[in-house]
Amino acid sequence: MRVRFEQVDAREKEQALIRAMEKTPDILNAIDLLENGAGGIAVIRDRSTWFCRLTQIYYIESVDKRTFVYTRDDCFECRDRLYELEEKLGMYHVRVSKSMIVNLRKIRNVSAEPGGRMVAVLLNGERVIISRSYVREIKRRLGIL
Amino acid sequence: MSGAKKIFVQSMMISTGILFLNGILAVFQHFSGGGSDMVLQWYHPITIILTGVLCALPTLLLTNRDQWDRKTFARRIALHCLALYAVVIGLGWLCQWYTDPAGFFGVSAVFFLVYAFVWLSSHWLDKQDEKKINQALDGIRDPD
Repeated sequence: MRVRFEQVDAREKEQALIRAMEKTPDILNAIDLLENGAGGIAVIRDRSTWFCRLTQIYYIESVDKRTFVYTRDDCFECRDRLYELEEKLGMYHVRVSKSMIVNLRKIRNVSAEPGGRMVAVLLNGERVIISRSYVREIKRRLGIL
Repeated sequence: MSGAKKIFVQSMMISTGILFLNGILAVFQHFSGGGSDMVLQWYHPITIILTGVLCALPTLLLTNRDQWDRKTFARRIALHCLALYAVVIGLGWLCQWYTDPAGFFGVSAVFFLVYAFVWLSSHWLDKQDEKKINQALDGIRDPD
């Protein structure tokens, strides 16, 4: 496949367009890599360090200055702070409140509540609050702003 | 959004709501008041803008919270409504928007209509966002 690279002057303008006959496993891997970055983050459980792929993360929450990473059924602790993780995560991992980052790909639906905030229902049935001030960034990441 | 920008946006929404309803009331008064048209004094537009700014402050203080349950939300909204009503009635008294009980009740009615208008229009905009976000999520969602 021929690959063309064009340099842009702002991160917001970055995008990748793949023209292909079908979504082969290689292309799906490429999409995953471009959207979520190369890998994952180091997390801790039972004093053991594990590697958590970014695609497995449902949401990350900060509680009393400790950071917890939630997957479908598990919870791990992470040494990084939320603002540090924001730089490591993919474009669909987005801050939804002061204390939480959510993987947009794990959201089943959102519903607006009076007062401007939204409630997101995740694929595992958990509900998280999206603060009003972060809705604009979510729309930007989804390309609807 | 920064605090100053939020105050500006809220001020614009509230001032626009007041001017919008005053415009409608002026039309009704013209066609049903037997020739007595609504008179706008030179200071009325600026006091409407001032009302918008003063109403934006309790809006930020009382409704700009990340986490709240429904009971807290209802209590804050009631407090918010009363705070704004006090601002409007206080400024109305200072600026002579009303001079008799009929005028007082008129200003009160306009206030509650504007209050409902702002909440309903904000919620309608939020629902539009909800629809757009859900449509966009459909395209990127991982398999369940």
